[in-house]
Formats: sequence, C-alpha cells, structure tokens
Amino acid sequence: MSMNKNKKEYTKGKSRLRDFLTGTAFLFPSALGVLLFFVLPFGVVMYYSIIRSPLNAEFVGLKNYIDVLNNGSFQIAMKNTGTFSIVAVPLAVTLALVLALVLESRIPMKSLLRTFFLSPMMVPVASVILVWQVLFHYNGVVNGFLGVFGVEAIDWLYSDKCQIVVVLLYLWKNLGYNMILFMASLNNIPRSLIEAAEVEGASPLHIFFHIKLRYLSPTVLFVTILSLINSFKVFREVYLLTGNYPYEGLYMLQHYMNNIFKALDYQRLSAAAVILALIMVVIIALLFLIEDKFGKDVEQ
Amino acid sequence: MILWAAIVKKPPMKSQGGTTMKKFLALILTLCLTAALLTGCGSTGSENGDNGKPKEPTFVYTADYTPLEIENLNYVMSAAVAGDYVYMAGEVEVQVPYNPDGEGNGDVVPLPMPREKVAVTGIAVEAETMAPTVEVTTGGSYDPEAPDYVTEWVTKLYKANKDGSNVKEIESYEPIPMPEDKQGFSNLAGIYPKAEGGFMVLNMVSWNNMDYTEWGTDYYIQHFDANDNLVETNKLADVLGQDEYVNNMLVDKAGNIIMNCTEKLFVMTPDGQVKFEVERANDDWAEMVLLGDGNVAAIVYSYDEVAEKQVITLKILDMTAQTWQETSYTVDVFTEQLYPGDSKYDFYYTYSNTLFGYDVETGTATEVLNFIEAGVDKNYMNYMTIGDGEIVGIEFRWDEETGRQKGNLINMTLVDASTLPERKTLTIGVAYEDYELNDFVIQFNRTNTEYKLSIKNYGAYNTHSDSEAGITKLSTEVIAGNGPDILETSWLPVEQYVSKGLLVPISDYLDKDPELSVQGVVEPLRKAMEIDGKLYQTVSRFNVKTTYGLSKVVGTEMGWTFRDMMEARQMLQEGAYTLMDSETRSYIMSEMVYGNLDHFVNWQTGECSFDTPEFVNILNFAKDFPTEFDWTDYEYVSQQQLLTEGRLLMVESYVSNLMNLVGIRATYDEDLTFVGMPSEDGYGAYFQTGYFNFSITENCDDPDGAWSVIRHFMTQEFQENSWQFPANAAAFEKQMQEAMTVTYQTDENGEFILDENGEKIPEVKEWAWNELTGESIEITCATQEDADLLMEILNNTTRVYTQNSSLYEIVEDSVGAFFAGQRSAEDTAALIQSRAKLHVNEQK
Repeated sequence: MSMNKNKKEYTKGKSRLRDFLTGTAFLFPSALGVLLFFVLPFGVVMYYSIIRSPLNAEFVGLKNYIDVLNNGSFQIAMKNTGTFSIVAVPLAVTLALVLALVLESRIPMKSLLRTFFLSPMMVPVASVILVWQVLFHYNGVVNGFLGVFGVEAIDWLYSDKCQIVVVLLYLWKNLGYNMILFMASLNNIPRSLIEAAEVEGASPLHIFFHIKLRYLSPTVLFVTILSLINSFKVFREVYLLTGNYPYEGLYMLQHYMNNIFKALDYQRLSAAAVILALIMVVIIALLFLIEDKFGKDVEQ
Repeated sequence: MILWAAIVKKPPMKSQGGTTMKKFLALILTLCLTAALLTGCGSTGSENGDNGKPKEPTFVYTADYTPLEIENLNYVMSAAVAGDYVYMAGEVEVQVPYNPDGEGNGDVVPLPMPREKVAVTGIAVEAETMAPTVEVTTGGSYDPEAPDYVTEWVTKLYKANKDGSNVKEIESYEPIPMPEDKQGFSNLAGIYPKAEGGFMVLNMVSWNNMDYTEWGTDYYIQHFDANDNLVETNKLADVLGQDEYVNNMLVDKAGNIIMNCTEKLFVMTPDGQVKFEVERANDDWAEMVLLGDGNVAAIVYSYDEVAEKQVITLKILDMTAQTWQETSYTVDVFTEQLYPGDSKYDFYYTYSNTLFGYDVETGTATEVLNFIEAGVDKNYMNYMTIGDGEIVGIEFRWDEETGRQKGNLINMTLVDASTLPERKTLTIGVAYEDYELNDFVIQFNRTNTEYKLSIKNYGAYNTHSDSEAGITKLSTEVIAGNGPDILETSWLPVEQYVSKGLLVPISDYLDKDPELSVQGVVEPLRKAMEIDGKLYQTVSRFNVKTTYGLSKVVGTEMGWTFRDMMEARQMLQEGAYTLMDSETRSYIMSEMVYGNLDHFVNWQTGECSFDTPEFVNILNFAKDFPTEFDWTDYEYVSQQQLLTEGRLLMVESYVSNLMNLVGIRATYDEDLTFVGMPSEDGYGAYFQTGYFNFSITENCDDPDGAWSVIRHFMTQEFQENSWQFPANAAAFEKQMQEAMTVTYQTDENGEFILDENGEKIPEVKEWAWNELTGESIEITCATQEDADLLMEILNNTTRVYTQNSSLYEIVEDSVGAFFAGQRSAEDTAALIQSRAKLHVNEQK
C-alpha cells in the first residue's frame, strides 16, 4: 500500500517536473523576448532618467524628474491627456456598452449595424484623417452644416473646441471594437439566470445592474484598460491632423515625448516615460481593485 | 534539490518512439527560436568597427600622381586603358595667324607660332610656312601678312605608359574636317580599345550652314591598328532626324557601335552600317553602360504615375534577338556617372565622393572606393577608367605658377592597408559637402603623418520627403556616442548639442593654444557665438546682415522698433516701398518675421511675445502686400534712386568687409543709418558665418588631435586673405588697416607708376556705382570714420543667425488662415503664441 502510494507520488512528481520543464522550455523564447525587448529597455530608460547625458553618465538623482515635472509643456501635456482620458474613456466604455445592449435586443438590421460600427477599424488612419480634416476645416462640412442654422464658423482644430473633435474621432475609431467585446461577454451570461430573474418579475434595469453588469465587470475592466491605452495613442491622429505643435488643447504627452526625442533630450524623455508608466500602473491597479470589489463574487 | 533528486532518481526512460522524436524536435525549435532572438544582440561595434567609426578594410586604394608632360594641354576629353598603355584625347592650345573674317577666333595674342603642323576648325596651316594646307572654309579671306595670332584649341591624341611616363602624340590621328560650306566644331567622343589590339576613335562633327537654316551632327569612327596607325575612317549611317539628338554612345567589345538617340537605340557595325534598331519609350531617359560580361545595358529612368515616384530599370540588349532581353532589373540607387563593369561588378557608378560596384542580379551596390580617403579630389578629375581593381584617372588643376591648367595622371591601386604608415583616423561629419573642405582633407592626408582625415557626408542620407534626414542621422549617431570626431556645424543645431553635453568647448583649447586665444576672436562675434560664456565651434569668416536707410528718415540711432519703422514710413510719399520695389507678402514675412524669430522668444525664461500688439501689427502690415508681384509694365529703378527720392524706406545689406561698407556710403550723398530689421530690443542685425565652423564631439577619442586639425581654420594665415570679415582678430585688424591704407600702383619691377604730374597713382580698392549720375566711384581707402561706423555696426549686432525650423513651421502654418481671411490677426498671434510656447518650453 505504502509502496504503491510512494510510486504514485513519484510518478505524479515526475509528471509535474516534466510539465514544468516543458512549460519553461516553451516559455523561454517568449520570456527572453519580453526580457530583451521590454524589461531590458525599461531598465535602460530608468538608467537614462537618472544620468546627465548618454555621453556623460554622471548620476543626477531625481533632477531629470524634477525638470520634467516643472516643465510647462509637460504640465500642459499631462493636463490635456488627463482631461481627454477622463472624458473619452468613460464615454467609450459606456457608449460601447449601450450599443452592445441595443444590438443584443431584437432590432432590425443588427448585422448591418454591427458592420457599420466596426468599419472604422478597417480604414487606415491616414486616409481617415483626411476625411476628418475636410469635415472640421474652417470651411469644412461641419461648419457648412452649422451655418445652415446660423451658427458662426468655428475653427475646430485651432480653438478651445479642439478636444471635441478628437474625442469624436476617438469614439468613432474605438466604439465598434469595444462593442464587440461587450457583445461577446453578454453572450456568456447564463441565460438561465436572466430567465429566472424575469420569471421572478425583475425589471430590465434590475436585471442589467444586478446580473448583467456584475457578469460584465471583467469585460468592463478590460475595455476600460484598453480604452485608456488607446486614449494615450490618440496622439497619432492628432499628430496627423495638426503636426508636432498643435493648438495647446491638443498637445498630448506623446507630443511632448516625440518632440523632446527629436531634440535629443533622452534624459527628460526617459524621465517622462517612467512617470507615465507609473501613472498607468497606478490607474490600472485602481481599476483592478474596483473590479476586484465588484466582480469577484461573479468570477468565483 | 527536490527537482534534482527527482531527476537523478528517475527510472530508465522507456523508448517512446514518436513522442521522443516530437520532444526532440520541439527542443530544436525552441533552441532555434532562442537563437533567433539572440541574433539581435550584436557586439558594440559590429558593423562599423569599434566606436562606430568606419572599419579599416584590409586593402585600401592609394593614389599615385604623375604630371602629364604635354605642352599647352587644357584638358583631357576622353581616355581609355588598353594593356599597358593609356590613350588620351586632349584639347591643346595653339596659336594660329589671326584671320579677321574667320569664325570662332579667341583673344588676339602676339605669340610665336607653334612649331608643329596644327589643325583648327576650318583651317589647317603649316607652322613654319604659315601656308594653309586645306582650304579655308570659315568664310572671309586669310591674310598671311597679319602680324598677330589668335589662340585656338585643337584635339590631339596621345599614348602613354600606364604610369604616365613616355607620353607620345599619335601622329596619325587628325580631327575630322568640317563638311564643305559648313561651320561648327568637331569633338572626339570616345576611345575604345579592340580586343585584338588597336583601338577605335569616335568623332562627332556638329555643323550648320552659314545662315543657320540647316544644321546637323555627323559621327565618324576611326580604326587604328596595334601600331597606332589610322587604318580607316567610316562615317556612321545618318539616322538622326533634324530635331533628334544622341543621348550617349558606346562601343562594345565586338566593335558594335550603340547609339542611344531621342527615341530609338541604333546598333551599328564597326564600319558604321545600321545592324538593327530598338524602340525606347519616348519620355524615358536612358544611359548606356557596358556590363562586365560584355553585354550592353541601358539604365532607363521613368516615372511611375501610380506610385508617384521615379523608377530606374536596367534593361539588357540581346544582340542575337536584336531586342531587349525579357528580364529587366530594378536599380534602386542614385547614380551620377556610369562606368563599364569588369569581372568583379556588372558596372560601376559614382555618387558623391564614392565609387560603387553594382551587382545586377542581387541589386546590391558595394562601396569600392572613397575618393577622398584615397587622396583624390573627384571634382578636379575629368576622366576616369576602371578595370579589375585598377583605376586610372586624369585630373586638371589650375597652376598659379604657370597660369595654366596642369594635368596629372592618377593611378589608384589597391594596397594592403598594413603596409601603409599607421595613422589615427579622425572623421569629420558634414551636413553638406564643400569642395574647399574636400581639398583641404586631401592635401592634409597627403602630408600629415600622424592623422588621417575622413569626411562623412550626412547629406547623402537626405531624401526627397525628408530634407533633414541626414542631420537627424548625424544627431542620433552623436548622441549614441558613435558620431564623428569633428562636426562641421554650419547647418547643425549647435545650441541643442551643447545643452545635451555633446560638444567639447573649444575655448578650453584656445586658452591653451600657443598662437590662438579666445580673445583672439573678433569680440562682438565671439560674444554672439558664446554659449554660457564658452565657444563651442571654430569660426573663420563672417558678414553682417543689416538694413540701412537715409538718416533723415530712419533716424540716427542704430536699431529700431516696428513702431519706429511705421513712424518713419509716414515721412515717405504715398505708396513707398519698405524693402524693395518688387516686395511681396512672403518676402516681408521672410525678412521681418522668419529671419527674426529669435526676437519674439526668450529661450532662457521660455517666454514668447507673439501675442504682442507689435507682432499683430507686423501681421497686419504683411497682409497688405500682394501675394505675387505683378511684373507687367515693371520698370527697373535702382534702390539708390528709390531711397533718395523717398520711395523706399530701407535697403537690405550684407556688409562683408570695410571697403564694402565704404562703397555703400560712397554711393549716397546723404547720411545713412544702419538700422537693421525692426525689433523690440533694437538689435535687428545679425552675423552670418560661412563654412568651416568646426566642433569637437564628446565621443572623440583624441580631442587634442582633433583640435590640432581644426585650429588651422582659426589661424591668421588661413583667414587673412578672406574677402569677408576674418574672425581672427589679428587678421581682422590687418584687413582693416589694409583698407585704411592708401597703396600705389607699381610696374612689373615694383617701381611706382607716376601720373603726368609725377605723382604716384593710388590703387583702387573698391568701385561703387552711382546710378543717379551714372558715374563709377573709385575708392582708394577707408577712413577712420568708416572704421568707427563699422565697429559700431558690429557692436550693435548681438546674435548669429540660426534657423529654427520648428518655430518657422509653426508661424508659417498658422498665418495661412489669417492671410486667407479666415482668422483675425489677434487670433493668429494667439495661436502662434500658444504653439510656439509649447516648443520653447520643451527646450527649457
């Protein structure tokens, strides 16, 4: 009996070891890739952020960080990026969820609408930008349309209304993908639970908040993180619309980084990158905490 | 430990056949993937050698120069190497009797007759007897009694050993005479060795009849045997229409003549008969080249309308099928001059200072030779022939001693680098090439035993879409520590480099130098160039860009504000010009804003003043100017006249030396004030420094050596003959003193020439032109007052012109809507302020 037990444990241990070694072997190339292309460069960035220059590796402590935090352009970029993310991310999550719920319900032309909302993903950014430039130019379509109602022409890209254009562009570009994620998640909610709630007379709102939203919380977290990352990537569209130095309201963190990279200021660039990474880590950690609080029971 | 125990205690593995094999394969795949990842980890100096500097090849080209001993040779128009000999066709200067009615006579010069029989266009004369040997066809009569002679240029053929020795004229060659009743010129278009010995000479005769109603070009091929005797001359078949021309020609190894014409390619037999013709797209430009395998290829340049880019294709001529081969090849390189291939490469080409070998199959270009590193200045070379590692070139330079062109035969041969004296290499990075610098480097490398200079031209990396790609690459390499040792900084963002600690302060070296010093640089210029009290670049010459106006209009103070300028404008008559009579909006913007951007920015505090009423006023002022000047009915009126008559406010001026300033002042009868462009701080003039600004980079391993090279450009010796202001204070002072000293004309014996009153005649140092009176003004020297004024101008100039492309783009991009009437001047100023502030703050 004892011999059998030992043999079983030996076999089990051997199997675990083999699994571990196999897993490690297969993981090794990826791990090495991550190490080489992510961890190591981040280490280099950290190193650059605390020295005087690549040719003069004198340790300067937090000087580069202080310089960056005190820099007027960085502050504007932080403010703009923050404002944009605070406005655009909740909108992207909420509107995508609403669209997913609408498309989940019994409405005609669902397939067509789904394609319609996904189509922006297929269009190359550069060509989209051309369209948006035509739309929001001073003599563009939007001003022409508003002019019909007697609204005075607005310099959309070079006035305080500039962020409206970018928020719209961002939503147009990202809503479809977020919507698909929500739709997939909605399909995974057990029908029996919803049917039981309906039998027991629960209102649609009650079902949404107490069942659907609880089950959707991991997806909400994922979509929020994705939207947040995409909100940082909106630089690409803004850059194509207005170049290196846009109107102050459109100056994003990546503008700052891109420009100081071109100015060879690798120290401040590295410091700004580290600050941005820290902010992202904090935001994502907060999102995890929130999700943990609201969706843990459902996952279990 | 547990893992180890588990491994060592395991029972012998049972053979599991396919499973084991799968695991083995999986392991191999894993290793391959890992190895693939590791390929990204190169050694530090992998491609370029240690510290990113060009790796020394095992074999390098060296150049041996042999003077060409040919009397009165102007240049060599064609050459070829065959066996141990070089054949050269040269243009030789001869003197022939002056023919007053003849065509194409040069300057009349009383020189002795040439000793040999010479042939000229339309005339051939016996040197001793002066008797014409062919009928004069250029019209008019020939007067053998004429006392003077004219210089003419004739083509002669020479043969020399490959090392340039034993030069002999090939007497049997004679230029093809003009057709009867025609005038024009004949030219030797090429020399082609024959495989069986001997060679062919291609001649071109361009003619027209006397009243220019008919014209044309005939081609002749002359065959010479192995003993250099002319065997036969054949006229090539006349394939050209009236308005057609030959792009280029070549002769292949079989002696076929390939003539690349406007629309077609003709292949002719060695006796000049058309063998076949091939169509070529009418709008494509093609160059012919003989490939290493003996095939004839055309490199065709065409434009791809769809891709919107130029496409270069190589097509090979199939001599048997008498058409193009089906396969064509894309050539993705820029070429300047093509050369026939050999056993190593399909063909050769030059680009910038480099000779490349090209492999058609693989589409790869390999650097064969860097002319500067080999000690050859390509810009002086007017012929080159290449063959299996042996390159022969012929260069011509102006010889100050003889006052003539002097030719050298250059043999470039591969030698083992280890056999050459060891020298440290210092690389000079330049954004744009400069002939003078190339020449300096070549001369330096020929004489210096300790250092070898190498030029890296980053301008070669510029593309059509990015004209600053080279500078970006240079900046990236410098910051990565792989940059050149020395930078020529004329076009580089020096302040940016300094703020990143990439440059060594040269003031430290100036202080240590036995001959030079920081104080030895002209003070106002030095102050303008200093960054945090230190100089980071050498400076050789400079001028001052300013503006001047009549003192009674612009006032007597140097420097003014925009408000001052507008007030002064009120004093002028209605419709007066500001800077010139054809001024446009873009010109005003360029002069008053783009050239003056620094005035609206405080780089120290990060403050911008684009949203000030002054800037708004400038915008409104510029808007009043036309976008394009209407040249209809335009009549030229001199700026002097416009200024004097109160029709022009100020004149732009580049003051380059004291005499230049004296000349400007002498032109006017009234007092002038050099006010500069309007600016808030009142300093509207700026310095412009030319080429030869050098900096030493932090990654230079031998900054002392680099200084020993670049200090030359700051010496009095280098600068004192400059026509611009020398930056060296001693050279500057000497130039000033020379300008203020009257010198007198002397004869060839150094004796003073006296006028009719027995007085010495002063030398004229500067001429000015008074356009009001139509008189020229001769200036013999500057006065102390002129010198004081110049110093005042220099002392009132506080900055060196630098172009800030980011600020320029911000302003240019923002003003478009304002000029289109879509945005107010105030909003435009606010927009520029907003955008410029971002840029300026980033730089803080």
